[in-house]
Amino acid sequence: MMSATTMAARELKWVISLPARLTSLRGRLDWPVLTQEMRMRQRGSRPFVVMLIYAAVLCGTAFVVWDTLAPQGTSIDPNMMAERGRLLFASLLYAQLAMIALIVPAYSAGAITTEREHGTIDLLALTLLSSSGIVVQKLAAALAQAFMLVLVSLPIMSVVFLLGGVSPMEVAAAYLLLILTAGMIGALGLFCSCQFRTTRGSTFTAYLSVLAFLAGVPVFGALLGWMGRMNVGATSFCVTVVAAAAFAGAVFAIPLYLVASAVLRRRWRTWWSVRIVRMWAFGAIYALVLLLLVDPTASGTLISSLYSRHESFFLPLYVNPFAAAWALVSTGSAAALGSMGPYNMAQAPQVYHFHGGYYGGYYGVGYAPVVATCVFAAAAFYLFKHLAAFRFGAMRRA
Amino acid sequence: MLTIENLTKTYGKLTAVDSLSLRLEPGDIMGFIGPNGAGKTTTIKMVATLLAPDSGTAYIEGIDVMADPEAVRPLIGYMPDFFGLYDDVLVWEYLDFFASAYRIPPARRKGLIADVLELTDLTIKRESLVSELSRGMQQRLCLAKTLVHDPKLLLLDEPASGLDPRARIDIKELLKELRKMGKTILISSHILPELADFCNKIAIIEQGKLVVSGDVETIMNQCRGGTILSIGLVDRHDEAVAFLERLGTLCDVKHQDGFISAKYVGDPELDYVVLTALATSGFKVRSFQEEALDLEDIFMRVTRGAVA
Repeated sequence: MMSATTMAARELKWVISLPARLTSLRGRLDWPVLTQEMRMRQRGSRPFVVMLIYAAVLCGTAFVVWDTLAPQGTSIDPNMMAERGRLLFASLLYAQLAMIALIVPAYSAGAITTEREHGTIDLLALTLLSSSGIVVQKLAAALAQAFMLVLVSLPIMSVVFLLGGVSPMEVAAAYLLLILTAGMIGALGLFCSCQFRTTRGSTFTAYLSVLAFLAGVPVFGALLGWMGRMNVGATSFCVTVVAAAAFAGAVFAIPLYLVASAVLRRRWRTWWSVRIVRMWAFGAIYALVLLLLVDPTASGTLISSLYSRHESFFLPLYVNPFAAAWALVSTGSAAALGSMGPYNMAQAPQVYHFHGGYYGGYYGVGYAPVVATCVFAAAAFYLFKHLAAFRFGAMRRA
Repeated sequence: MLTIENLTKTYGKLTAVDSLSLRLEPGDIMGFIGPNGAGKTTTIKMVATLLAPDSGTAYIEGIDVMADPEAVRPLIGYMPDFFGLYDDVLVWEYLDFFASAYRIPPARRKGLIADVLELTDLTIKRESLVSELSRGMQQRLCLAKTLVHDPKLLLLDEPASGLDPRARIDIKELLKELRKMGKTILISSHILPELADFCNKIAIIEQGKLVVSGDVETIMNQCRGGTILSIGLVDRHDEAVAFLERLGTLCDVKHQDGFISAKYVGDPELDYVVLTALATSGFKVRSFQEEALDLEDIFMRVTRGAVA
């Protein structure tokens, strides 16, 4: 594995050479893998069926929300309309996030493994394309397909503007969240595809990871919320911090372990093949991350800084597309977010305010989770893309 | 062009390829023959930079395959024994993909694809789906793909396996065409006669070890140890056997079903002397010919059949 400096130097070179390469763009606009993948993916009726189902589910969601869940009223009351718009916006966003999480792993987790299974990978490996080029083009093809679904949703989503109650900025933030989530999940699926031998193994792992990420944080958050409502004061706070750190530790330790494994496997193959060695290595990495997170001196700065002025708003717990979406669509009331946590869905409708305040995130909380999640997703996208290219390159050399 | 030096690959206790060395000059067509499991595919994969050898290496135009695989890849065209084709891709799109992947500029691709389709006789299938082609056509398409970047060295692993006789002849014709184009070819097979008439060199491998290699002619003569003559007579067979044994230049004279077979050990150019002697002595000769000895016979003599 190349060192961090050479990697940084390469990135820098990439940026510096950008203008020169843009001028010779004509010759460079030649992406064989992307072209090939797009052709293969778009042939037949399946992509259209998926698009149709996607649109149908969104329309169904809108209908159900409109008909049964939205506040009822016969008079044309602007507040009531806005409330409906807001609820429609929320449910369409949740539905889309759920469908993206369901569909995107299937798009990307087979990208490399099917080449392996069809016996085409040797021919691909012998071409003059770079490993990262192949991987990035495969990812681009999978994501292009996902973005097409997101595009399909735009006309349905635009209905909320008729009702009001939602700012364009909020819709833009929602779509940014959606696209970056799709990117992150796509890159994760592609990494699994490079790591595993079969499509089945790769797809299974991709879905499991997505589930762990999407559900793990809310489940943990709900637990914390419950502990908070038990009102055990300082003890609760301590438990919250330690438990959150333990979870965050796992979130950080797993990718670190994967990187370490990629390096160590090459250098000390015999040692690394011993299971107990790998387990201890993971334990050591996890302990190190935990130490960094909960160390008294570190916690003074690291963890406390993650807290906003509302002491029970703990940002890491919002690094999750659904939690961020919740934070976005709930009014931005810090009190609501803090005291109840984002996971007390039953309380959600009561904390809506329709007095201008939530536009632009009056309390400074509304957008913070979205931004944090987007940054995390972008970082995860970059990491998984690099890991995938690295794994593919290593396989190609052997 | 291609030099293989002490290439070795082991899988656990099994030595798939055991310090194999070969040499191909530009324009050589080498038949790489061995029973199933002899290590042919492993060797070719190592030369094609797809598999790392345990020891030894190969040089293509002087470039070390292990040290600089990227530099070697443009020079070789590899056709695997088992290859997959992408579903839902048209024939021209398949070729266009590989042309693009080998960095051939878009402007040149159209003509190039037309050329390789013409060569492989697939022009009418240009707009067909790859998955709809027959096995023989797919094989030819894979060969067309191998030629797209105009490689100097072709590594063909069992290009005619699993084909019916008609399709096999098509592939053979195609390979003869490639020989005319001056390509250097390493072609593996376990079916021997298909290689006999266009290889100028052969290498026989068994259990990972090179049994024999060199020019086809030399090896044939070595293995044969002389020409076998088959003489058909109307009558007086036993007399003829005695006569031929007295002649001195023949041994192993046998009579069977009206034919006399004998091993001729003298100068191959002078075997007509035997015929003249027979005729002048009044034997009624109906036929006189050299018994054909093909690669298959050589193969059976050289290998011990330990694998197959």
